[in-house]
Amino acid sequence: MTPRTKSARQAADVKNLVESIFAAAADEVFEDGMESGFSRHLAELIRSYGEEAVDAIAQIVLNGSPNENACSEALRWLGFIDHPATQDGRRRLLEKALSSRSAAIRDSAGLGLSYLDDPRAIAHLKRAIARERTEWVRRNLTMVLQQLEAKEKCPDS
Amino acid sequence: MPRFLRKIRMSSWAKEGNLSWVPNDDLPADPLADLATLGNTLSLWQIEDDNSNIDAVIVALVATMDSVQSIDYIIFPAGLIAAAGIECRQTLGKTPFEPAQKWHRDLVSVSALRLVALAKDLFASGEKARIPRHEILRLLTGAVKSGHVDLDALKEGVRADVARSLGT
Repeated sequence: MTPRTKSARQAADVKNLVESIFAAAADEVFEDGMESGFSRHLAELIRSYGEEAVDAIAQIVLNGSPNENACSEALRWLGFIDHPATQDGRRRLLEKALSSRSAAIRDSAGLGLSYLDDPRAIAHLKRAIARERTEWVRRNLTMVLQQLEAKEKCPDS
Repeated sequence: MPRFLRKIRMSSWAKEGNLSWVPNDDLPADPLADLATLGNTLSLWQIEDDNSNIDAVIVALVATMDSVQSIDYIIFPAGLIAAAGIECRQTLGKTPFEPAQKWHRDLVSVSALRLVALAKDLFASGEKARIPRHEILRLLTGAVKSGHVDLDALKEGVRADVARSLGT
């Protein structure tokens, strides 16, 4: 098996794993600050497969999955998980999710970015706030922007 | 008149978007997930008229969580509970933050129709807000520093965050 074939097979395996945990999460009820089987599996996948897991999650979250509840939960935990190797990939996914058609997904992307606490998201947040028409989402995204601008001014805070 | 606080997920209570499918005098079903009862009892926190204990109630809530994350909540007047025909009792809150335990309330003997009646009023007029993670961490760290919360009583994820914040 060539390295490329092996890599493609692993990517397919990771995609299947991610799809299965999203499917299993369809009936879960999530609560802020409380772990779930879904959040634990997400964290395990990211720690085990790194960017491949982030890419597979992105395919589900950014392609208008009908499982909005699980997608929202995933975005929150993507920002919360402590895994420096995938921080850039997770930030890019969260930034893209700010353009979702779903207000709940845009809000969760903002929450994920607040947990990631990475000022490099500031420009994306500013654009998202400028186009946001849903008042409660705009208010929440503005809070995240203020947090990241404060972090940029005082990185050690 | 006292008011009450319940932790929610803000997106479930949004009034924007297409709600034309919801009949008059009804509400979408998603908010009910935030009003899950246990033993036909719904847990709430009483908020003083001047909001002076909101921070303490937030600490009480986060002290029972698995990790320090932002909290969405809804606040509403006590009159809505009576209007729904529900009885409210003072019960000590199950939280490591003892000073806040006295503000805990249980709505008891909550029937399905009474719960829906309350949910409709909350959906129509409850005040929703979010307190961000960094603010919650600041409040909780302060409570630990002042000796009101025992670090060892917190769950691992919360304890680690507070310990980092304390520089220990």
